[in-house]
Amino acid sequence: MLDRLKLVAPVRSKFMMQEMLEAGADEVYVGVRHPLLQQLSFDNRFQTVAGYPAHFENWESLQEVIDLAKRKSVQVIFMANASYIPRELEQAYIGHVARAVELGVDFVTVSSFQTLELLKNFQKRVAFISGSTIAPVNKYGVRMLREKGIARITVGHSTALKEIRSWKQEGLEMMITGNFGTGSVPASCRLWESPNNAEIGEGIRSGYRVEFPDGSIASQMTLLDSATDCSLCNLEELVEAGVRAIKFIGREAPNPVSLSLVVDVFRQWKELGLENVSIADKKEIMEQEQLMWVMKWVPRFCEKCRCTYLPTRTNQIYV
Amino acid sequence: MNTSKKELRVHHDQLYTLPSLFLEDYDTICLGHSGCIHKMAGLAEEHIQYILQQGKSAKIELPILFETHFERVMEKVQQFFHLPLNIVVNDWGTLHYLVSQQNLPHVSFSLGRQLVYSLMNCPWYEDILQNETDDIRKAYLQVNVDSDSILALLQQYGVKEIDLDMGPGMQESIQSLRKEGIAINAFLDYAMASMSRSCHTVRAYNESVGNCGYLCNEAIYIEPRQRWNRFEDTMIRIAKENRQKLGELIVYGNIVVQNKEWTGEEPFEVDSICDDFRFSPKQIGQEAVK
Repeated sequence: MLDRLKLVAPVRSKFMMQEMLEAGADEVYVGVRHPLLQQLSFDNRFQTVAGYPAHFENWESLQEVIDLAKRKSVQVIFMANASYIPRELEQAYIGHVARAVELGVDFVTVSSFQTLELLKNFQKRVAFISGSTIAPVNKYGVRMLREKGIARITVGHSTALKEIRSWKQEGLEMMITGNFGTGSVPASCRLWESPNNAEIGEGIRSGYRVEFPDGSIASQMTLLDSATDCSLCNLEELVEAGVRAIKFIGREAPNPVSLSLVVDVFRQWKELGLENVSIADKKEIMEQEQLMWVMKWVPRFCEKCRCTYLPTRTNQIYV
Repeated sequence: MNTSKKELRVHHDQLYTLPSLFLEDYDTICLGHSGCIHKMAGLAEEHIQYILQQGKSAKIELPILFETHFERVMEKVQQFFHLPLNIVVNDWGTLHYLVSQQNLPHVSFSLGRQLVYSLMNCPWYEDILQNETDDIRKAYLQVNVDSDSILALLQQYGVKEIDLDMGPGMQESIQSLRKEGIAINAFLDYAMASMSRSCHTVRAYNESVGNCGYLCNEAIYIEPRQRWNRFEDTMIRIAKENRQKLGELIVYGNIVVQNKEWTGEEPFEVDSICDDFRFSPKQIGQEAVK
């Protein structure tokens, strides 16, 4: 079953594409900046984050990457997942996506019923993925997306494995996010990072001075941080539950090489899973072969209990 | 802001404590919660009957209904559907389900604030928009449901009203939505900033879910001090001038609201103004005495 799991990697340049191909990506996702916008975009990522770009600068450079993807039989997802488009920009948005479709992308990701409707004429030419901002929270949400023509849904971070399993019968491909969760419900969180200010990050993971009702004060506390960042130990169960793709966040990664190592770790776990290697043995192999595993992964995810699907304090108190 | 109608949102366990004189100010009373089903424990038909007996319209706000709880909550809420009731929904799946149910002649639907927002509902939206042109800045202050395609969807689903955290630059959207028959229920202060499924208050007090309802009646005030760096997993100190831009937030359970009131611009019409005491440091008991 694990061989059906696709690894979906972020790409913003030809160099990043080559790194992700090397790491074993099965699909890549891309966005292109629009000249009307300075830092906003027609997808769900600002044009720069902490000074690093998240988009292709122009269509020519994207074309080059799409051609490379075709040669390598890697599918390309075009991100058009803005949570809404102002009326005045609807035509510019449609034109933007039309250009990507002309270039030969395989999927378009949308994140609102508005944009899905705006792009309905493209549904015969490309498959549509629903993004996290319209991630369903119950099976009726899944059905609504299916009825609207969505081929693959992005499952929200705070969705329990048993809930994902119960949606399998709805017959849609499901995709989870592999890294960098926020813990918030995407459509309900407006504490976005600012692209213009290195000190204004995602509010949900910021450190806060906290004043409790009894007057006690914590001078530094990540009170809102309920993020889950890793699903490696549940890959087999996720595939069993109907998950067919894992998407990695980070088009704006300062170092594409480091991010490609994350994709590479998932690829190795997938391959070891295909050989029926146990979780304990996989971890041992990682310790012996992957410096990044020891230096970053374990302290950052395992030791901090950032598991998305294994029981943790964070997901045991889901409301 | 011009309107002749007022709505009150309270927890159902406070309903009977409110004096009639206080309730006189309100045309509609809404119970329920924007973020947590556990805050709805104990909500019963008697509460709705009481509201109707006071000559008010009744609403129930449903939080985002995750799969695990959906059937149980829906089974309970549907017992109220023989009464005239407006249901405020906060996720599309729940709306999709409710609309598919036959024979709900007394029930109407509103969209809640988890589904309705604008970029200006980010506490630091001015920082985000600072480099955009004037036209783009203005455009992105529009409300997300102000589009022909969403209006068609709302019409198809019989949604006649939306909750909206008010802010600058929304007048055009409001006019456009009202022209299409969508009533605006305006919230003037303590705008929704975030909701998480893993409850912040339960984590902070190390309590268990289900025994926690009393914990989120009181505000936890938080001020941003450090930014998280996603790729390095490090925290960066936020300088004082930026902290001021970020402002103060208030946590109630799994909900985060902005601690600021919108003072308004030039007058324009909405359909009702909502006083929401569930996510506000204003004490309803004291307000009732006033």
